[in-house]
Amino acid sequence: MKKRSIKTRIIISTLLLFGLIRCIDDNITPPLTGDLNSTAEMLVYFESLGDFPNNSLAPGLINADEVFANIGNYDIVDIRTNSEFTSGHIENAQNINIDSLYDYVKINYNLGSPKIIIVSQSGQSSAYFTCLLRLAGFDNVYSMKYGMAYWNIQFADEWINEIGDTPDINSYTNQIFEKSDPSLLPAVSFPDPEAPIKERVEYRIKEIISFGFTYNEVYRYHLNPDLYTVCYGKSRLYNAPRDGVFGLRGHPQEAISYLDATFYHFRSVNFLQTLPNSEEIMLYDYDGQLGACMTAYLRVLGYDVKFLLFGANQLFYSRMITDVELMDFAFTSQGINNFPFVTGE
Amino acid sequence: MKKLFNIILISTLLIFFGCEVEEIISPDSVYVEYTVVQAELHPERLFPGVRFTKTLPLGVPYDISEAELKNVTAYIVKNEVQVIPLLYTSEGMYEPLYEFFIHEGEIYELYAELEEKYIYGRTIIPRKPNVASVNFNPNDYYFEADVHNINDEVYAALWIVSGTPPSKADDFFSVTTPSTGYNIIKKVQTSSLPEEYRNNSYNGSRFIQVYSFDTSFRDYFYSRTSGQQINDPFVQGGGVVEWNMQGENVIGMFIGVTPGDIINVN
Repeated sequence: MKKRSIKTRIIISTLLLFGLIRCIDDNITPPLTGDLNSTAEMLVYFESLGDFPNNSLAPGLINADEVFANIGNYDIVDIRTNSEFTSGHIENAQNINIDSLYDYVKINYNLGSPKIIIVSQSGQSSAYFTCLLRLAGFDNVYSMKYGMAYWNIQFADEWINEIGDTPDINSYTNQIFEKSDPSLLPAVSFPDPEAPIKERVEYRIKEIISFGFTYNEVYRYHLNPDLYTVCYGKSRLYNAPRDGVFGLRGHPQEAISYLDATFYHFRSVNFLQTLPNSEEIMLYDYDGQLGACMTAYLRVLGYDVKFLLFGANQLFYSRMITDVELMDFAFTSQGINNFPFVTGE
Repeated sequence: MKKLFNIILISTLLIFFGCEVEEIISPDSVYVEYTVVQAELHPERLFPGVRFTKTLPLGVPYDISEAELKNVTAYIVKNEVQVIPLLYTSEGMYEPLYEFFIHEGEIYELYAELEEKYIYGRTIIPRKPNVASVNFNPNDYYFEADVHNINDEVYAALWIVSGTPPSKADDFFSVTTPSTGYNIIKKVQTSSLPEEYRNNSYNGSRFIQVYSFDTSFRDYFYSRTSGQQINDPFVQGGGVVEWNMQGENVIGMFIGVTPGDIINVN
């Protein structure tokens, strides 16, 4: 009898304890955890500022003649080396090292500078940094088209020496190569992932600026066929006409077409994420101006992009100057001005 | 030993009944603000955007300028890969900078953050309902359709009467249960036709339209009256509405809907 009573009590106690544990609260929905994706947040931020790389404003070029006409009004920032600067520069230009470029532009932007003109030797690094500064929200920054090379013949050697036709032109094709399947945005890490997105973007842009224009190597003379090769421009840059100078040899083998205006294939809603997120990408454009800008943008988003200096001007210059659809993107001696420059500091 | 057991028993009983919390509700502390998310995604239409608002306390007249949320960070992930930012436009609407079309079978996820609180929703854009047959129930005056079932979809239907002016049911009568498997036919029923449309003069003017939904719509449909005041003893009330959004104090629907063809019912 006693044994049964003990047993009964044990059972009752166990049941009640069970009930107690259950009543602690089994009706809590687990809270949603996990942050937003940082690269996605950057994309949101860039689009909230108008998505500069993917609209008609990119790459923010300004012609040398407009700069010449406004020398006293514009803030001219020469980012060449000090020796290049002292050998000849635009009057009133400031020689700013890229390490202090961001802060310099930020100060002058906040002071209400009407236009800040970034000037480099060929216009490519200036287009690159202009795009980075535009992404940061400095909407009055411009890159002088073709740099000092279009200011005065004195500075045009680099451009003139680089333009030409590649010996590989006979292997070029009009065959269409397909984009990759979409993949996730690359992961970008930040020292303070909880910081407001504006601060993270500023950090990221400063970081990319600090790497310099040629970090991770740019391909100066040739395309690398082992990389995911992107032809960024209109379809005429990709496909050559039958009656053109090289016939139907439009692009290198395996090159993939990504269209610029007005299709803007790098927009988030289009084909941005068909770029491989863990593979090296090789990008070429018409003349290195827009391409430099897009390279900057894609690097900020974490893509591993290499860039072909001088673009198609060093791949098939003969085609660039004879095709009416492309000739506006050809560097020509007729475009070189004879504007004055000063030497020394 | 007996004493020990009695102590355990009494303690347990005390704790057990003690854990039933008596919540004393002060009129000042009743109101909890909820974030409300609304988006209805239809295939072959442009992405319409997502509306983020907040609830307002009882007695405060609804004013969109008070209810709208302007500081949400939000983006869509399409098909589990493609990120599409959403940007504030007006009245709590967040739209993509560039228009894009929605297509059947696509998966859309909503990621958002508001004051360090995260919001998540997911939906699949259902396929256009594949209707095998339709018929009219002359006894109870409702229409019925047999629909080929697709996994992760549920179906509901509305009656339509053409004429001047045309008339359409205000609401669905029921939503089918989700099923998985092949060759499953689901019966979907409309509400009863109003009396004025039951006579023979409307023969040939009566139609049924079946809608496909993401499965979460069913939970919402059958719980949506739960949060309302109980005026009718036969209507469920006072419970929890099954929204398909995740997040702390987040309610609303982010749902894919595909209307089917309008089919004549003889």
